[in-house]
Amino acid sequence: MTRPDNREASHLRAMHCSLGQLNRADGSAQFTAQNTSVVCGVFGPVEAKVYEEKLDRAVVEVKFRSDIGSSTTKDKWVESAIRSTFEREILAHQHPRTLVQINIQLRESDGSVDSAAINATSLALVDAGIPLKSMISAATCAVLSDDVVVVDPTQEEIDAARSVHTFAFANPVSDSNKQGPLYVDSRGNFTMDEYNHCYDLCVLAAERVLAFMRTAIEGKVTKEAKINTT
Amino acid sequence: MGAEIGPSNIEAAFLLEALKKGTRVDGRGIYDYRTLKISCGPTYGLAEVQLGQTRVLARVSCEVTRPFPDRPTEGIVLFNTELSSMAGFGLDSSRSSTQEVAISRMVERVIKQSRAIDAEALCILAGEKVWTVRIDVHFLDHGGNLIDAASIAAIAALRHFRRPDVTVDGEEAIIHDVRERNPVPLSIHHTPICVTFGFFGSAGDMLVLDPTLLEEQVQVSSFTITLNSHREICALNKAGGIPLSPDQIQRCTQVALAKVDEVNEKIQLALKASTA
Amino acid sequence: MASVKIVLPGDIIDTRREEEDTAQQEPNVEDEATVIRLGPGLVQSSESVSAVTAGVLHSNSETNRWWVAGNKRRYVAAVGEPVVGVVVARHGEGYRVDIGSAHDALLPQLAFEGATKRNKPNLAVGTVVYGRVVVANSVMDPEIECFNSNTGKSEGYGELSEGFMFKCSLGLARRLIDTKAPVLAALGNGVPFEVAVGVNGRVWVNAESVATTILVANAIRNSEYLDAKQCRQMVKELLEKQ
Repeated sequence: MTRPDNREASHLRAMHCSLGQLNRADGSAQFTAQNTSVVCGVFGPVEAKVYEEKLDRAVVEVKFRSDIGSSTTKDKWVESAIRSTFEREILAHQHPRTLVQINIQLRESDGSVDSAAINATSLALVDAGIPLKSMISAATCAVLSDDVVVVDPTQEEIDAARSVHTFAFANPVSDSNKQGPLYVDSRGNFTMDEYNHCYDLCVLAAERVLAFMRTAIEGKVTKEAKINTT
Repeated sequence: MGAEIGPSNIEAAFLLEALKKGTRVDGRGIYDYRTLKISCGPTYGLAEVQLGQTRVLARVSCEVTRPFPDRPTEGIVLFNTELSSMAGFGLDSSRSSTQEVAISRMVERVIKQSRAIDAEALCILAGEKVWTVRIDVHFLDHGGNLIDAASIAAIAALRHFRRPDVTVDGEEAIIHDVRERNPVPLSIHHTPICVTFGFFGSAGDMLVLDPTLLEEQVQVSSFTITLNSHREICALNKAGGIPLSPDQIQRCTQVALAKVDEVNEKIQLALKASTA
Repeated sequence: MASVKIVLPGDIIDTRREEEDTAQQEPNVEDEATVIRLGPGLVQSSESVSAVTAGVLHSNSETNRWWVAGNKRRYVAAVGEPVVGVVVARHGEGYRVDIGSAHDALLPQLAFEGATKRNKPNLAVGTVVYGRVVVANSVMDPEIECFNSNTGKSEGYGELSEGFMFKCSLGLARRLIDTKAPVLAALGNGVPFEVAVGVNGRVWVNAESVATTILVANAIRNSEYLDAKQCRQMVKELLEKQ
């Protein structure tokens, strides 16, 4: 089987990311997998509005904007999914009465958008120095009509797929695997075997994504540390 | 309060002090544009513009719709800008300030009312099917002068965009998948570019090109002139502020003419780089 | 210096290992009983210690203190730190000052050198002040003072009435606090200027002429990603251009 872009079934698209490119945001990141690209800007901890502040912890707010058109109910769904995924990982009790605002902007979309959004958010939160229990990395799989499972599907593949699955895991992925994923999104018709197969593939893919993100962060930290020591 | 706090007194005073000596706090000359970076693609109709610390993303997309009954042979151009909280904490479309509305209206007018896009070329079947071209402008980082950055991004995205090819056979229109047949560019009449000036001092006698956020907060008036590459004026905008003399407008026009050529050249280079 | 270890949120830190990170020796389990002190960026979760922010892992073998040094841009107030703030409101007993943290800081009217009930400074909204954080915790709004309450002297704190202020990353601000910071040393050799660094990422500079102030401000801003050698080179070029 060959994929439209000649990738092997278990291969991710070439990833690219940059950290801290936004000036106003306290932390920002862009995560790109070829033609799927997401930019995320984080503000926090900043002052929460009086009516929403919580006395014992920070409030997490997520705003997701699609690349085309104004916001839809689907965007609201992505917002709430990402908020609930990260709300438990952010150490909110360290900054009570404050707000952590996560702004996600889709730049271009060619499938596997939700995992790209989670990865960008994870990087932006780290860039902002928001305390996190753990980094989160995500990956998407699709079961095609001929029962072949492909990792990091493009929109073309998703359109032709029977089911699509996204999983997100905490760092380290191998440990998190035992505790279960932090985020699951499965759509379409699938058997339990297919689900388990997708899960296993996403564990491996999320591990690779995390390794990639680690390299990116290390690059930035090393650059800053080198300046500090000289 | 999180939201926009004006500049401190010393920043404002220092900025004016520097301008009196003909310098700006970021070291630029008064007629200098900030560093302009334009990147297009890989998706058709995607352009990102970085003007100093300002960053704007434009996306162009299209779909087939019915035309308006009073204009059966014209396609539809939709324009949408949102100043999201990503660009700066506290900036939000739900409480849109007059400034935000002014920015959106200005850029929309420049693209739509100046008839930059050939609407008739977007017609597929008169009265039945036309292309609706949608331009979404997303502000990612607000470092001042959003208008110029947005107009450059919108024009670059429109020029980069390709729509699916169509063949009309009698009453039937076939829309070809982009994998079957090469998509085609939009027919664009001209490319209006905004150039914005800020004025300072009690008489507005000091001016700068491409004001930063701090300069925008201190300025007493602003003026935007929109020109295309044929050296034609497409729109002028001076919304309130202190009165300016015609001489100043004349002076701005001369400066803007030179800048528009530079910007158009940059867009051209960015388009070329995206296809290479 | 041993090789730099960079950690990410969720990484488990092995605090038993001593200096030689790279040595493959079996850690000596028996010499526990030592108390480990965790600094910024680390938390204890059940049996293990894990990182919560990204940065370089540091440890001090004498005090057995461990912490993670990273860079941020949003200030979180901490007692004793010098900050540059802007007055945003005035009320009965004092001022509200924006110091870039989540909540505005309080500045009592009497927290200035020589201030008495009858003779206290009168600051307008928009005034820039250099102060020191005296109250900082997660449940109260921070409070700053523009003098040392033990000596009653200003010690350099107070209103900053001239010059220019700009923002930078918190990491750069911390480096600038050190008077030996390469960019400040290099500039100081070339031109006279005053500087007040707030660890909240705001720097105030003032020099004889407007041009010099702009030069100093831009040199400091440019130094964000430059090491000592590059800093000296950059400052040299700027000074030559002047």
